[in-house]
Amino acid sequence: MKLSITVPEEVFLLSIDSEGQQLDLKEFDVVLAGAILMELALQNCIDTDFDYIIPDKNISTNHPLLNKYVKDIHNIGQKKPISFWIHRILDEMGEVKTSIISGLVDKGMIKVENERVLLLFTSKKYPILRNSQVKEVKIRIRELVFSDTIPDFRDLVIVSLIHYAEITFVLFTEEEANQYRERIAQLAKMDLIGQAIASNLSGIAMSVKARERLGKNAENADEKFDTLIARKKEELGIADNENLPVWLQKGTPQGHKTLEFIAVHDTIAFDFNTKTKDYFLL
Amino acid sequence: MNMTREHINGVELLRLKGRLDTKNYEKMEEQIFNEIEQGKLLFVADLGSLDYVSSSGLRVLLKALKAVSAKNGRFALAALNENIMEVFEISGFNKFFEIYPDVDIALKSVESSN
Repeated sequence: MKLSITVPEEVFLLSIDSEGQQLDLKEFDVVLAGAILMELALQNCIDTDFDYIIPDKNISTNHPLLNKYVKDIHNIGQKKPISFWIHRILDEMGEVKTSIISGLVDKGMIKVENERVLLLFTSKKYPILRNSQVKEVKIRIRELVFSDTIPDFRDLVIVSLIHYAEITFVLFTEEEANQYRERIAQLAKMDLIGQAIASNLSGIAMSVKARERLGKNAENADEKFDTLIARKKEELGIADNENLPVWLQKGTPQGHKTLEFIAVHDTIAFDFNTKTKDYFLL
Repeated sequence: MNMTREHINGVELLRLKGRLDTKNYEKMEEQIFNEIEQGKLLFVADLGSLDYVSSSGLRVLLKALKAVSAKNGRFALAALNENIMEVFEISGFNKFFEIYPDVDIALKSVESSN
């Protein structure tokens, strides 16, 4: 019987090698956090644009982990930057992984084995039990990439995650990844959460390290952007965000570029040339 | 968002005005798929008055394109303004859709499939 597997569960399964070892993947926690948001979007619990998570349906997803975030998002009740929710999920990543693993164990997809290493510590292995289902996902995604068909969103988000996490090797050989590089990139960017993760990855990673160093008071790019917006509104005598110049409007493509600029340069001491659409440091 | 429908020479012309987002994507999806179930497979969506589209809106448009394409139909977009065009370009959706600068050109092209 085919089981219903969520995007975070699929991504977790893809991160396990044939020995049941979890791959040591760069920024995997961020990818897993993104996968949770993508699943919520697929289930119409949230909507997104380039920068924001917007609450949609407040419904039960039959998955306790996802239900927790549906509840959290709807308790806040207003749109928040994607990175806000990425950070929130990252702060709870221990529980998140435990929940994903126990969900997969309950579905009979994996088992958990403790392996004693050099008598010093135990590492865990997660041998996959229902390999046929994992193989089916792999075949489906590969067929999508190798063809020019219009994608289903559930498949597209997987492509987006493996592309932006630079783990295409879990599904493609190096030759295949090179041959289909354009198609993979084209599909990957169709998921806006994936794009937000990619463009924020260095910013998120930096700010995660900064937050670890400085505690939760460290400003991230979104908070800096909020500060800039507040200052400009006061300068320009604007009350409504929708009347701000487009480069200061979160959720627009230009606003997205502004956020990227802030994340890269870690400053709001800059201005924007509306004719040339260039940013310049002051 | 306000969506009006006209039937012009065998093509369903959908005019979208306002925002296509969490408040109305479901209604739009229902209306479009009702048309598809009635056998209508040629569509032009006039996005000239669309101010904003979220990912759920993009998903509905893509689902509609996939559904009509599977039955050899067409779902073209027309008159995208600069902001909406930028959304389509940055997200890569422009690679899947036929996009025309104005409604008349789009209608002429899609009509020719009739």
